[in-house]
Amino acid sequence: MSRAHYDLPLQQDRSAGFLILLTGLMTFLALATCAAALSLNALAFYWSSGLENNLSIEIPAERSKGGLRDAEEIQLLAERVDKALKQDTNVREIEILDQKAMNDLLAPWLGPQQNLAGAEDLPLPGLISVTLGHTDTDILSSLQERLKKIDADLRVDDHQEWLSGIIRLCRSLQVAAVVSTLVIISTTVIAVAGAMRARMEILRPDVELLHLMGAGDNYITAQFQRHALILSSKGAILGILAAAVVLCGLYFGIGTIPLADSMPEHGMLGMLLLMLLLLPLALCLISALAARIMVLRVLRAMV
Amino acid sequence: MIRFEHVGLRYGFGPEVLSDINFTLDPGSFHFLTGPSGAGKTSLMSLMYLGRHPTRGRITMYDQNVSEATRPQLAQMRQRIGVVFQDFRLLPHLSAFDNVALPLRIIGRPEKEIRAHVSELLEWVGLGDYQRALPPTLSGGQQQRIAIARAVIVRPRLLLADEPTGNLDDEIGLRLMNLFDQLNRMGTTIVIATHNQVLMDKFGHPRLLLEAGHLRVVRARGWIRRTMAEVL
Repeated sequence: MSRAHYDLPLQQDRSAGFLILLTGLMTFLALATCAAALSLNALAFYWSSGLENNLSIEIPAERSKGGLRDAEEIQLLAERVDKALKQDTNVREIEILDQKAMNDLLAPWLGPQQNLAGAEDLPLPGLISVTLGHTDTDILSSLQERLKKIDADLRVDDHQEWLSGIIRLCRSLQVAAVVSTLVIISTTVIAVAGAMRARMEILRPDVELLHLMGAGDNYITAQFQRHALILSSKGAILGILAAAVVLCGLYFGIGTIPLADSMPEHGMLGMLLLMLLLLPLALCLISALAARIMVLRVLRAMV
Repeated sequence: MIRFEHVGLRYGFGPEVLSDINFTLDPGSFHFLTGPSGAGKTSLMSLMYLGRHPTRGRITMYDQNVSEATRPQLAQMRQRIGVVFQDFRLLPHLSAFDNVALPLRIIGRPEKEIRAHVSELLEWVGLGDYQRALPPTLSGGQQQRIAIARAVIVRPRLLLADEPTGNLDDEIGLRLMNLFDQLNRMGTTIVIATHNQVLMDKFGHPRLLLEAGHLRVVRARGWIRRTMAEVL
């Protein structure tokens, strides 16, 4: 005669299927939200690393005192800037954008240059892309001082204004994703604990009988805890499978830029795999713990 | 073994169903608890099996004040009490075997030992062929025997039985009373709540007579004669 797994008929719970489904959905949502948070992190990393130590120097087409500069004047100014920058040992790379590069930059707005009549007469600024060995505010202000001596109209843009806004947005979305994950986990835990409490109320006469026979709180609680762990584990496995299918579809199918290009492949995949394992595990353990605490509270109200 | 001192019990704000109960059960004693219906027998039993706390007075069990015992201590005390409930209180989803095995599992006995003891006891109460049967498929008498087997399987120090022979025929009833007698001789303190005058007269143990919530200890008619015979 084999030993019954439960003294209490917990496995005869008809609402177990609903609880498994709910846990599965919540696990899926939590994983999807975490994946989104990781993607945002990767995106922020991609943007910030792409523009790190990079700055653009603009030679405006319009003089501050009035009047337009022609292409020849802009070219002359660019050469003077180039000469000045080359004397700086911190400067790693200088690229003066030629007409073709400027046309390529403007193509999304103005269309291909060959389709545009009189494009050569457009008052386009001169752009110089500079890569520094390292950068900080002192280096930047010193560089700006030197460039101002060449021409007061020269503008230095280290992209920080634009970049910090984007990164701030990413971080805000990440915080929202983390909060959402916590809400999802809390909801699941409350649902599991509530289901255990309802089950306990239904089985109260049986629980009282065990209690009267000398079953300690741990003996009774362990059965509910194990039941909650099994149900949430089943749900978590469903959620993991669903999330794995969707995330793999996104990763290999659409090939999101931040995931594919920015971070080392194994690093991102490793994080995703770790998350796929740890998040559902944490959810199951917290659910079992919540069931334990709830059952103990009810038991302690008994004589 | 167990001592009640000025114990009273009321349910909610209602009148006292038990008033100023005083008695002592010595280790190895055997008592019948009797009285008219509604006198409070089941309430007194529930105090004895630590199913509720008294509203006043003091209960001492195994030399320990029950109201001062911690939860683990109370659980340990209950493990040494066997109870046969009037309505049996079997777990309907568990087989006869698992119902009887339950107290052994609670105290953590090994499964091999459980298998041997439970099978033997079920054979003894005449349910050897019903080990896998679920209680709802069994008759009242069979369920009662399972309840009794469950109560005695751990050889409790105190056995409380509420009308244990009520649903049994005379022969099985007598066998079970002999089992209780045997347990009693091995040192188990026994209290049997019953209305069965014939049974009480036949076994002649002292009686705890409950009337309108008050308790009197009554020596059985044959008590002096039997004691004299034992002495002589």
